[in-house]
Amino acid sequence: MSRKILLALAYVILVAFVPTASYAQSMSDPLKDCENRTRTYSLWVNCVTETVVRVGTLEGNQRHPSKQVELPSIAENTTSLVDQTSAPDLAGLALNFAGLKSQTDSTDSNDNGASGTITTSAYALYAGATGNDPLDPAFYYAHPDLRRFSFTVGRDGGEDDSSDGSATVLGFKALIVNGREVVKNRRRLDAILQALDDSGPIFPIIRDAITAYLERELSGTLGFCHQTPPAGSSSTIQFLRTCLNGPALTTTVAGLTPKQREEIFEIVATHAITTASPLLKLNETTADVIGRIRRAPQLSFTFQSKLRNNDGKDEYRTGLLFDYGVWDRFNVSLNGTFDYADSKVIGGDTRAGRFAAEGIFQLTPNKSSLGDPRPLLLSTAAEAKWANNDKSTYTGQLKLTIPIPGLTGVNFPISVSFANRSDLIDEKVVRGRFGFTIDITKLLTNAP
Amino acid sequence: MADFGNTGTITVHESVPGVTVNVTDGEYLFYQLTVSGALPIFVFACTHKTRLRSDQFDGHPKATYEWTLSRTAPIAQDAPNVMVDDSEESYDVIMHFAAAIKYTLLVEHRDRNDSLIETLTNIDFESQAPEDKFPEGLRVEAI
Repeated sequence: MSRKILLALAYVILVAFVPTASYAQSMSDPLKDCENRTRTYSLWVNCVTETVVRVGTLEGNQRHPSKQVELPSIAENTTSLVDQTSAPDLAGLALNFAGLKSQTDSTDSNDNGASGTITTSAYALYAGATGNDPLDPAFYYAHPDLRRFSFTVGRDGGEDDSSDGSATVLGFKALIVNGREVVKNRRRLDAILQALDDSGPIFPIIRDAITAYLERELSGTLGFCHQTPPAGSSSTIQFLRTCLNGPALTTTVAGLTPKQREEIFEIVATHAITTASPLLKLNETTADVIGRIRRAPQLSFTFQSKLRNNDGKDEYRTGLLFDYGVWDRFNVSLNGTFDYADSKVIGGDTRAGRFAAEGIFQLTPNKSSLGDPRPLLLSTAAEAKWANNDKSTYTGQLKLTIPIPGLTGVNFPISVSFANRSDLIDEKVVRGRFGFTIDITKLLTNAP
Repeated sequence: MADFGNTGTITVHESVPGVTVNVTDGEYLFYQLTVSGALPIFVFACTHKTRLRSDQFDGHPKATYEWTLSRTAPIAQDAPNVMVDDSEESYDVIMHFAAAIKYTLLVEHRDRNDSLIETLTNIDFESQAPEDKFPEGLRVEAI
């Protein structure tokens, strides 16, 4: 089983990193790709501008994960060894379907392999209770503290090497330090508004320059593209409303020669990628501000529990979680918790101190060759647990989080764990897991 | 595949790239920008300068922003009016997604009695990437 997992990981990494032939082809005539952005004239002009800036500066930006939608670490079939400090603002679902062991040695029927949780915030609950739109800026801005509190409820399928059986998962987090809260970063975001203010005129200037070029080059041969222009308007407005509007825009853009596209490239480059270009300054400011917010420290208090109806033990975990962006593509999470297992057997209770750390690496930039704007994430984690009546446990984990192409907010985490011993049996364990995480916020906001 | 930026998508209900406005006869343009998210960041600019920015509006941050171009007077207390500079140039609404996830822009050509002549722009812009921005432009000829 572990060999299959490794082959799957190798394939995903290969596909993500191997440059495609179409990319090399598009670099020679970069504006050609904008032919499929002709639903509106502004969309095509923006595509041209973005392409010129991208090709001209070879800039790359990145994205950063911070909000946990996976099963909390207390669950058995989770792909999380270390918990993140914050949860989605509205709600998140996590489904883990299977715990994959290196040997098929299970004889216990308590494990059905399915686990799932839903996490929501006090902000989302309050918005629902008061009938407010949680995405109304005025409401969002007025209640930052409600986003400090999140709650998780769900079910844990249990381990196949344990007789405890399935459990109900309940938990909550309270953000003590929330450096990534939008409201608290208002001054940083104002820097983006100022950069947008400074660069504002460059956009209509580029648009008018492209329009003037197209009219000069094409109006003599295209006329008004077999349409009736509005009477009493200037020749430019007439050309815009006929040849650069609706279905005619697609035909007009498709008819541009490589030389004309090259000249349009030069026109835009003159305005957009000069050393003093406010457009470049805007992009730099945006990347800087977003990066600082994503890397800001977060500290939260957590309480998680697994409660069982039968004779299985109830488990509790409480402590502090800390996240910090060390570098643009590298985030560190630290957990320091106290674990308590309340056994129905007299003298069977367990108390343990636990420390865990995780480093999350962003493997790909925002746009991978898979065509998905979200990056592949590789994380390494380690956990040490010292119990009062048990031997110490040391666990390591390697996890790859793959965004599902075309499904915004849906990820596919795969993890492999290594332990010096399980909690109950004195043997080394290698375990693979996979599942899905769904950020409902992102799904909702993409709804029509 | 994104329409713009990293994850941007647009839904077009109405789009016209240019318009002739008879300002001497009292015609004007009405702009309405509806926002979902935490903090709207946008500006309204012509080729000469930025004419309006989101933090200049009363009640910012809020869900709906309104303003007019070349109306004889503001249509409402919290809806500023901007006069044209040149007889013909483009005006862009540049929307930033650093702290917002959806903008809906409505632009109407209206007569002196505030009656609708033509809907010029009615487009939804959405993005989950905080680095994304989009400039929606309209060339305006004022006569």
